[in-house]
Formats: sequence, C-alpha cells, structure tokens
Amino acid sequence: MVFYFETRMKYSFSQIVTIEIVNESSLFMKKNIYFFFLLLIAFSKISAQSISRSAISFYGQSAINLKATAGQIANGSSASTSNSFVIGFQQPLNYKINVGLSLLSDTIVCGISKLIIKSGTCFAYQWFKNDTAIIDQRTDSISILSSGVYKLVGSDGLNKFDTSKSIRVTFIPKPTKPNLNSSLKDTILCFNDTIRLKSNLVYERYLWSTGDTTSNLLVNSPTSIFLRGGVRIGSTSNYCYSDSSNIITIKKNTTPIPSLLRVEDNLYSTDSKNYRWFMNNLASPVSASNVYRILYKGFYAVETSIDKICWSRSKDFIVQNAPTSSDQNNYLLSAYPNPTTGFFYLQAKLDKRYSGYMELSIVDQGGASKWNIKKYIFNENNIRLPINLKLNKGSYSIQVKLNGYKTQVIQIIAL
Amino acid sequence: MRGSFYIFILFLTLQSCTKEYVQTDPLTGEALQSLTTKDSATCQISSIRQMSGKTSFNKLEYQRDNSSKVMGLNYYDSISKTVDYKLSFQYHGDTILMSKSEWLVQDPQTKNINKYFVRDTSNGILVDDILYDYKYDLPGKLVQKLIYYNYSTVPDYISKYLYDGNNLITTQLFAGDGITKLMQTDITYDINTITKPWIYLFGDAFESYRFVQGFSFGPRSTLAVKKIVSTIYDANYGNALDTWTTSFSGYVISKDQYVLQVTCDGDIQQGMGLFLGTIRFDYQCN
Repeated sequence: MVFYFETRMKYSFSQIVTIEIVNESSLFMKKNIYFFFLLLIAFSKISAQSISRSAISFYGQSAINLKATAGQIANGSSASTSNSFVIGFQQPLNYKINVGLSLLSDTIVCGISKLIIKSGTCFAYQWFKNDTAIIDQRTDSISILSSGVYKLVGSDGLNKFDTSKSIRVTFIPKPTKPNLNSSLKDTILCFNDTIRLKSNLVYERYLWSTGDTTSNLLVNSPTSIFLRGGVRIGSTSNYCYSDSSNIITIKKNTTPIPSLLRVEDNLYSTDSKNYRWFMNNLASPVSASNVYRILYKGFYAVETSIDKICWSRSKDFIVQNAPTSSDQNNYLLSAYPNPTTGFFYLQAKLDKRYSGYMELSIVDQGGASKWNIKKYIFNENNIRLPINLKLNKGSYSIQVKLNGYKTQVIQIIAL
Repeated sequence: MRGSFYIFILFLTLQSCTKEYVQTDPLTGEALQSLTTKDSATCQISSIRQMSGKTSFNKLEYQRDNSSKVMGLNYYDSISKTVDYKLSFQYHGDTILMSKSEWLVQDPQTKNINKYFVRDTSNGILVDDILYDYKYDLPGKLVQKLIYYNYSTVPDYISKYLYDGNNLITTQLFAGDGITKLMQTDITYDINTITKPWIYLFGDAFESYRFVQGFSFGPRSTLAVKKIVSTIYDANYGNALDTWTTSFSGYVISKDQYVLQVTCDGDIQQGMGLFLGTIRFDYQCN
C-alpha cells in the first residue's frame, strides 16, 4: 500500500524538518525533509509557502492508526503534531483472477532438468500435477522437475475460483554426444585434398558447426568443426540436440607422400624429417630413420612428417619374397613314394611360412643333371611339389634351394 | 556318295561331342554305380585322398553329422603318418568356432560363409589378426573377398571372382588398392562333361583350402575342369614371377554324375592346396 503525506512550511528559510509518524506510540516512520532557500516575499500580496510531498509505502493486511510530528523535533519547541489519522485495510471485494500461464501449450523440453511456469495474478494459487494438488505450490509460479500434466486453480480469496488450461510438459534427455572420427578428445586431423568427418553414433538429425545437416561431412579447407546429434521432438519438425562433440581441427598436410624402394633386404623411404614404419598395418618400433630392415614377407608402409602433426603415408610395398640373409627358416625335406616308378611328390615342411623361390635339380649318380625347375612358393609352410619324370632305374639326388640358399639334398630310388 | 560323306561327318561330330565315360572304377575294379538311388538325396564330399595306384597318401577327411553338417576335419600326412592338421567346428548361432582365435560366420539364410577370422602366428614372433570378408551377389555367387590385416578399416588385399553362369572362370588377387595385381587364376572347362556340383576352385583360397570344400561359398562348378593356370605377379614392378599350370584328366564319374576321381598333372595350384596327382573323392549322401 502507498499513501502520501504533505508538509507545508510558511515564511521559512532553508532548513531541515524532521517528520515522525507514530502508530500506537511506536515509531512507524522517520523522514527528514529539506526545505530549500525560501525567501520571504513581503512585497507580494501572495502568501508564500513551500510544500513537500512524501510517499510512504508499507505492506500489511490490517488497519493502522497514525499521527505525524513535524519540525525541529530535537528541541521540541518548534515541532507540531498532526491530528491522528487511520489508514484502513479492506479485503478486496472484486479481486481480478488471472490464471493465464506463461506456457501456452503442451511443451517438450530437451536436455534441461527444470522448467518454470508463471501465472497471472490471483489472490491465492494452487498448482496441480496430473489432477493431484501439489503441496506447497501456492505462489504464482511453479518449478517443474518431471513430466506430467500441470494446471493452476487461482482464487480471489472470497471463494471465487478459476482454472488454467492444462499443459502437458514432457522432459526428454539430450542424446549422447557424438565422437568425431572415433576420437574422444579434441584432435588435429590433416588432409591432403579432402577429409571426411564421421560421427560414431547414428542420429535422426546431424547439426555440424558449419550448419550442415548431413550424416558425414566432407571438408576441404582448414577449419575447426564439431557436431551435435539430434532426436526428433515428438512429431514436430524440431529436434533435441546433444552436447557438442569433440572439436576436430582440420589442418592442411604439406608433407609430400613418400615412396619406397627395396635394395636387397632394406626398404628406403624418400627423405623427410620424421619416419614411422608399418608392417601388415602394425606400427613397427624397429626404425625411425629412412631405412627399414625387411625381416618377413608382408606389406610395408612408411609415414613421414615435417612437423610430427601431419603424416603422409606411402603406398603399401608388398614384400613377396622372404629375405635371403636374415631368414632362419629351417625345413625338413622328404619324397614319396620312394622308391618311385616315375611319379613322386617332394615335400618340404618349413618352420615358418615361406614366400619365394624353391629351386630343384635332379642329378644322377654320375652328376648329370636330369631335371631343373624353379617354382614360386606363395606363403606356404608345407610345400608339396608333384614331379612326374621318366627316370631310368637307379639312384638320384634331389637338390633343393630356397631363395638360392639353404641347400638340402635327398636321395630317391627309381625302379 | 555325297550322302555317305555327310553321314560320316555327322558320325565324327557326334563322336567328338560324346563324353568318353569310364565304365569301371579303377580303384575297385567294379562297374560304376550311382552313389544314391534316392532322387531327393544330395551327396557331400566326406574325404579327399591323394592316390598312388591303390595306395592312399595324404587325406583330408570331413566329419559330417546326419544332416551333412561338418563337425570337424582331419588332415592325414602320409610322410609323418600323423594327423597333421585337425579342426573341430562348434556352432553357436551364426558363428562357427574353430578355436579361440579362429572362427567363421555363416549367413543364416543362404548358409554361405561370409567371414573368416584367424590369428596368424606363422611369421615367427609376429602375430597378424586377419579378417576375410566374403561378398556375394544377389544370386549367391561369391564375387569378392576383402582381406583386412590387424583391424585395418580398408582392405589390404582384394580378390575378385568372375563366372560363366555358375562356373568360376577367373580369380584375381589384388593389393588393397584394387589395381595392383598379385595373381590371376583362369579355369578351362570341358563343356561336354557335366557333373553334380563338385568342388570350389578359388585359386586364391590360401587361407581356406582345407575347409572350403566342407562349407558353402556359393554355387560350385558343374562342369569338369580341363586346365587351371595361375600367374603370380611381382606386386611392385608388375612382371610375372611364376606360372602354375595344372591339367585335369582321367575323370571317374558315378552314374549320378558325382566326380569320384581325377588326375592332376603339372604344378600344384597352391591356392587350392590339395589337388595334385590322382585325387579320390568320397561322399556322404543324405
């Protein structure tokens, strides 16, 4: 409630007047009023006076009995006291009930845990969830923490009620945030011409920081990118989006693509500053220089970098022939049937799989060569070669070499 | 006179088109019979034996249950006189376990094998985890094999298979770029000798030749093979490293057209593994 009181000062110079308002012997309010430089206007027929109006506001629901004393209260002599006056309080007789809500229709809330609904002004408020009154929800707003149908019944305090529209509030959680390119952390990726960014999760809607909405994104210039994944909100065209993914910084790779050259049992990379070697897609700690010693059959690649951030990878270099000097592959040679009538099998059982040439030569007892063959063996550790020869009766030596070394000899009898 | 000449030409033509079937099984010395008298029965290979006369050398044997499902295999080595290679197959849904680090995945509808995983420890201390991904076309023919080493997301090797009808005619093995050729196998058939679906002739089945004949990898050829030629290329320079040529002859075929025996001459086809010399096929019919 607000009321005003007025103080008038006649024929006065600048001075401070103190006003005290007392309610039933208790000080209700004290206020200093400054009257500024009021001149006596003697020559005027106009009665000079100064008027000061002050506002008093207070809260309450009962009547109060007030009187005011004004003047220089400290010395008491020049103070004067007003008559008592009563400020009454009356229950509103025609209170306007406004149960209009700040939410106008059913609402789906994405990813937040609290929603506040505010109503228009009533004298008293009672909120309901799913038609059950909510205890202690008796103000003009409500904090909603769970899904349900909410409404307000407002009153004017005099047994007049009005009910708001029922609003269905649905909370849906945010989708799990995506990881870009299988990385949890912010990452630098390098590209030569383009790079494609992919989410690890499937969503109904994709929202890239570039504004694109495709499920994966082809990038062809340096930038930083993140992704949010969305699920459709009900049957609307709106989506509830996840938090942002890790940020991928795309950097232009200026390291040239290396190439490999085999010289004997070594692979040589084209020159760069840093080298990483791979065999069968496994990073190999054997070498960080431009030379790699081949130990096994397989496919090899090198990655080189100028800055250790962007790496360029060579084409796979396929080592089909087992290296000659480092191979520790032992083998057991046999032939069957032995004695033979002309057709027999030669079998070589190796410790490890072998790729490379196997050379056979058959010589008779006089040292004369009867047959020579060189066959390529493809990743085998149990080599069986069919030999169909019309050999004269006698004893023969079969000499076997793997990749030109590890010679073994076996005898065979022709019947 | 002219009429007699045409009759003679017709006779020669018919002669050349008529398959020269062996009437007697050289192994048993008895007349060839049908493997089964039931029209609805199908026969599956139960063993493949390498023969010298009537002596059996190396032998690959499939153990099948009553529904012909392969439960295990043994490879008998005639030199060491031991079982050199042994596998049992445990079926769990669509997965067929051979060991903790070796398994197959079978399509539930077609029964075609579409994945094979193996941990290869044969390179000494190095271990390679290899995944073979078999791709089929809509009619169910194996058209591609993608090979992934050590969980690579792009294939390290790619094989392609080309057919004439259901008969495989070419196998090509490429590096992972799909361009650099490592190997090509070409098959020539005798179009006059029709057999029951016989064996798989994938020239690059280095990983699977021991078990491939026991499972389904799409349709099998239904013509007798005459010749198989494989050429091995140097991946980095493109030149041919070697050529393996194998001729097939001396077919012994049952009356109901199952191949019982064939003689392979020339080189072993290393990607097929088993077929060299005279090979005998045994069947289980259900």
